[in-house]
Amino acid sequence: MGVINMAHGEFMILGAYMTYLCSTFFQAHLPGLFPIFFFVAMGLAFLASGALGMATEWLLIRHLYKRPLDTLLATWGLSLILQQAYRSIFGAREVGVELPSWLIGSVQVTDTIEIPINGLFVMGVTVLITLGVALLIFRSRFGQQVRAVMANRAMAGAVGIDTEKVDRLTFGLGCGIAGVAGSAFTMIGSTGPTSGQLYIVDTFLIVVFGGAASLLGTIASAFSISQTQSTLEFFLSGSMAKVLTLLAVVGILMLRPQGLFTLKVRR
Amino acid sequence: MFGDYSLGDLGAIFAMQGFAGLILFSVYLLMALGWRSSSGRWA
Repeated sequence: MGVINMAHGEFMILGAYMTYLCSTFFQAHLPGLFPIFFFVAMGLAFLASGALGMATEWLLIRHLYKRPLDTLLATWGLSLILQQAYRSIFGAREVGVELPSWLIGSVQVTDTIEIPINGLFVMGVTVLITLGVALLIFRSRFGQQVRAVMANRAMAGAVGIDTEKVDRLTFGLGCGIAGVAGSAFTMIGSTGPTSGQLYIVDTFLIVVFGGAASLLGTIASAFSISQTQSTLEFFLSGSMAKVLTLLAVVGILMLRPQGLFTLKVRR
Repeated sequence: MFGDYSLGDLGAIFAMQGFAGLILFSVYLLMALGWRSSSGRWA
């Protein structure tokens, strides 16, 4: 596809805002069902971000395939539009999501170690989604079509695959997953119109650091970067932890520019 | 940086921060998976 999506953070924030709307709606109108609102919120976040993603692909991205710099510029403009839209609809102030009582607190493992329940829950959801995406892409007919289109668009079209439909669904799937990430994001911070910008660079870093063609590399790099940052934040300030993490990543990329994991491909 | 803590304390700190970092890992992983999908990096 050759798309660099600079608005990916804003799709994540749409998911976060959908979670916020769900939280306030359930609190106001369905207080008895509030304990399960997060499941509904994640589903809505996926659908809303996915639908916006598919609309974006149809209106904007499909005209710019094979022009990655143009997609970078166009999606950067889209991200500015979305940020202003969020500012106009939800206000410039950051909003927080109230969690149900069963997600608050921690499990005492030993005298000194506690595991936050919301961390376990989000981790479980992430594992399910990662497995689901892996099964969809590598074990399903649709996934076969996606990989065929990405490998050789002309030949995939020649054997009867609707390449435009595959592109749209793939882009929508990616944005939908970002929406679920936004739901998870509400557990670690407040949501504001520009919060997505904090994560877009980290996202590129994780994909490049892990190796652009490797799913296992993406998992390994996300784990190593998040754990390094989280651990260093205890001993240093947040900014310093980020600086040291990025320095380590830059150093490793200088020694191994292809990333942590590489797949041998025939070109 | 680590000199103020015993080995046992350090182990507990690393474990606690590790679990606290699970949400950040989840956000990063989901964002990266989504970005790979939307940019067509599955071949």
